Amino acid sequence: MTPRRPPRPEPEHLHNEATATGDHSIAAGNIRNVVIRWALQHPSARWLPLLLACAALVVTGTAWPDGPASQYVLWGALVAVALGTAAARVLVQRPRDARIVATLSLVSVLATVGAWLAFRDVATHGEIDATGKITSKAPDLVDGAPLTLTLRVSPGEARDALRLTLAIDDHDPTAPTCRPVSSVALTSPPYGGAATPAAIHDGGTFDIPVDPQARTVRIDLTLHTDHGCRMDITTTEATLHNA
Amino acid sequence: MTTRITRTAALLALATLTATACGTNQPPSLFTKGQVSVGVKSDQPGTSYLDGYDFNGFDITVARQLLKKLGTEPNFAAVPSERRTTAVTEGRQDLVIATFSITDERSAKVDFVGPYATTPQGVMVRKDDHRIKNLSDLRGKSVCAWSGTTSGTALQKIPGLVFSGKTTADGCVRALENHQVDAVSTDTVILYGFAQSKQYPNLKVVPGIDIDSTNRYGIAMQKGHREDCYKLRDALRDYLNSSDWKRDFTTELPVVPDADAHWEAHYKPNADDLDKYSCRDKPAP
Repeated sequence: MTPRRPPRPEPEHLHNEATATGDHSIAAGNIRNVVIRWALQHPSARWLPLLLACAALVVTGTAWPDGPASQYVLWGALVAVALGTAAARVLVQRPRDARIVATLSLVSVLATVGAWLAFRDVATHGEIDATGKITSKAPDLVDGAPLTLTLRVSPGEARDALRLTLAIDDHDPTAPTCRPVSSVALTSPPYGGAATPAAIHDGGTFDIPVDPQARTVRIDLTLHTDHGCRMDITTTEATLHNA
Repeated sequence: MTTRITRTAALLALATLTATACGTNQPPSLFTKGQVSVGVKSDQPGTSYLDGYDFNGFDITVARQLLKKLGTEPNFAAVPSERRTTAVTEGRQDLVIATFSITDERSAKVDFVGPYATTPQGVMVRKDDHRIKNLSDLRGKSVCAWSGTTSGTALQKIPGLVFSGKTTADGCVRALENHQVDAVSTDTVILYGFAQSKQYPNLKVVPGIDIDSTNRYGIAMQKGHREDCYKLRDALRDYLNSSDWKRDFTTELPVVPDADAHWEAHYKPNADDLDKYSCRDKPAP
């Protein structure tokens, strides 16, 4: 007598066989199938990737940390991909192949997530334009005059170095020019190692280590120029960054 | 057939002419002419002075030396201090070599080649007047400077000093001789020129008074002639690096080495500084 073969499973349960065990897993599989079907077929669902990308764009706009545009290249590229594919998903209403819709949606969502992660990386470790927050101008200084530049740092802007570009100009443009013979030296490094370079001329840039925990950064400088020269020192660019 | 060839040749010729015209954007060189018009001072013995029909002085010698290196000759004409900039910008003179200090404001309007000399600003008094020995002695004294100079601007910053402005150097020196003012203040190289002149035997430069910053004299030329500017700069570099500069300075202003032991440090510019001040819209390090 031939033993009875076990009954074959119902066709609708095949999809869950590899991972599912029990009634709850079958229910989860059904929900996922319903969601996927809705995402691929429902008319309203085609707007979903675009809404997600736009929402992420609005949130990044409210928390924009500024700094040089070059650090946003990856973010910009991913946003372009996210918006482009999301827009295509909206426009492609009745595709011949359902895989086109699935691919557009997937790429858009992944690009949105990638853009968000790239933005968070810039916000946490990227360069921050601090030009408007630091002492902007010290006018009418003579040889040996000290000056202190003060920068208030918000908790979210903690970085371990400050790149500082200064303009050293004649106070009186009608007087003999002293610009080529004037320089500014760092009196003492505010934190840790030495700044590079130790002194700069007009248009030069310091890279100064700063305490990332400090909420107020003080940069002490000294002007060196010829006898009788009166100079204005202006901060043209200040950028917080991680060394 | 012949017409077509003629038309093609004409078009090619036109294209070549257009390309040539577009390619040569530079104005014609100032130094290819036989003579270069040079604006100078006429009333400053030692530096630039019209003696009869001949100009002489250190500025004049510098002009002759540099233009000789460039294969041309100067044609001098007197220019008052306050018109030195416009003489160049309005094209009345090709160059101005007239104890003309390089400033930011002037560098924006004209191109400078320099410095060909440097000088502090000092004070000149009558030989029999011993009241002024240092800067603080100028308080309450009447001091003259002439218009269009950096010296006048610097004097007006000194508290307590009574500023007296004249239109010419000669006006200030006459006012000093006639006891209308107590002192004349301008670049010491100019003051020594007056003090060594036989015309003014009763005047002396007060040693050790140093007002404001060092003046650096430049040769002014109209902007837009950068190639000529570089040629003149290179000629000046050769001049400064040779012994000619020292010979000419001591010939024209022999009283300076006698009065100042460190005269070369005070009056001779470093050839390495030429690039910082020459042929720029803004002097830079």
